[in-house]
Amino acid sequence: MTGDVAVAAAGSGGCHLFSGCGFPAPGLQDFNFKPLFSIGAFHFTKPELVAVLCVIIVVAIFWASFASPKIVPGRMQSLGELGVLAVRDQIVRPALGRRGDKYLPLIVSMFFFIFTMNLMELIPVLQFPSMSRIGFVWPLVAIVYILYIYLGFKNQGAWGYISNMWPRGVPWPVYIILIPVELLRFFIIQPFTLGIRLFANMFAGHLLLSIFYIATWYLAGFTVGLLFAVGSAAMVGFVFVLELLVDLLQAFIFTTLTATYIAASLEAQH
Amino acid sequence: MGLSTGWNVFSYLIAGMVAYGGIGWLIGRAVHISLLFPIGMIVGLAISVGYVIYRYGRAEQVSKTERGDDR
Repeated sequence: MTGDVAVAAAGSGGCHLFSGCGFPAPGLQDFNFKPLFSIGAFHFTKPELVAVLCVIIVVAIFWASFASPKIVPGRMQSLGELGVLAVRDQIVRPALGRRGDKYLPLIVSMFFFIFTMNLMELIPVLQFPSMSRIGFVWPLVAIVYILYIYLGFKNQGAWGYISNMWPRGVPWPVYIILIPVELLRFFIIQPFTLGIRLFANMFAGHLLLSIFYIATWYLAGFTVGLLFAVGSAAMVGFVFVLELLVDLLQAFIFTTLTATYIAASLEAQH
Repeated sequence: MGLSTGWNVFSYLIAGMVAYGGIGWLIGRAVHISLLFPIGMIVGLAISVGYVIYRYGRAEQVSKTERGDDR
């Protein structure tokens, strides 16, 4: 718990340079949390709290925007429309065209949920992106992949879908060579990279922020370390802005790939 | 879409290495020749690179109309 490391250090009089204690480097332990409360074997932890908060925030914003839509939109409705249209024009339409509007609710929900979840790493007190726990990523990947395969089977037929995966007009021994590669790519590597990309970016981002937060605190004091603390604090600002970009980019990439997967399922890819 | 093509190419390269590396490892384990594992990986990478060139090398000529132009 990064926040807790810093708080513990502060509480115990401070773990500073030349105070005899080593640098409390962040690590995997910062991603494990004590349960806030438990119901039987179920433990409710901080990442789950963050996820529930994000759901409430996203639902509340869109509820406030579209609960009673008007022809001349109010302030909240304009904001909601701006968000939906941005996702439609930048993510859905380029991949799917007009027929993608059917999938707009799914992709808009997914985009804003992931974006809000990612942003939580920058919000004081919460300061944790739940997507850096991989258990939060796999259900999203499962939703995308099940839809991807379902739409493929529905639109192209089971045999048509499988046969469309292979290249046309090549000698048959090539098919035998390609079968292991194609199967592994489709069922393992592609969903794996979809999930790992989001997870790893959030994981690395949280570690990076933690390192500079803790280093600033550790180096601060009436020693030469103060000079380095200023540098570390500047890095906090830089990484903060960088992570803001990464948060948006990862939500964008995840949903863009979802849209292109849906497009690939709707029509044969050769 | 450039983004999805990029990730597809990446997936193919990894899949080729893992698939044929795995096959090489299994055969190598059976016949006690550990060298088959790296050989399998290299063969898999070569197959992937060849397939990527075959499949995406001419993609520009095949799809002249971009999807989404109808918006």
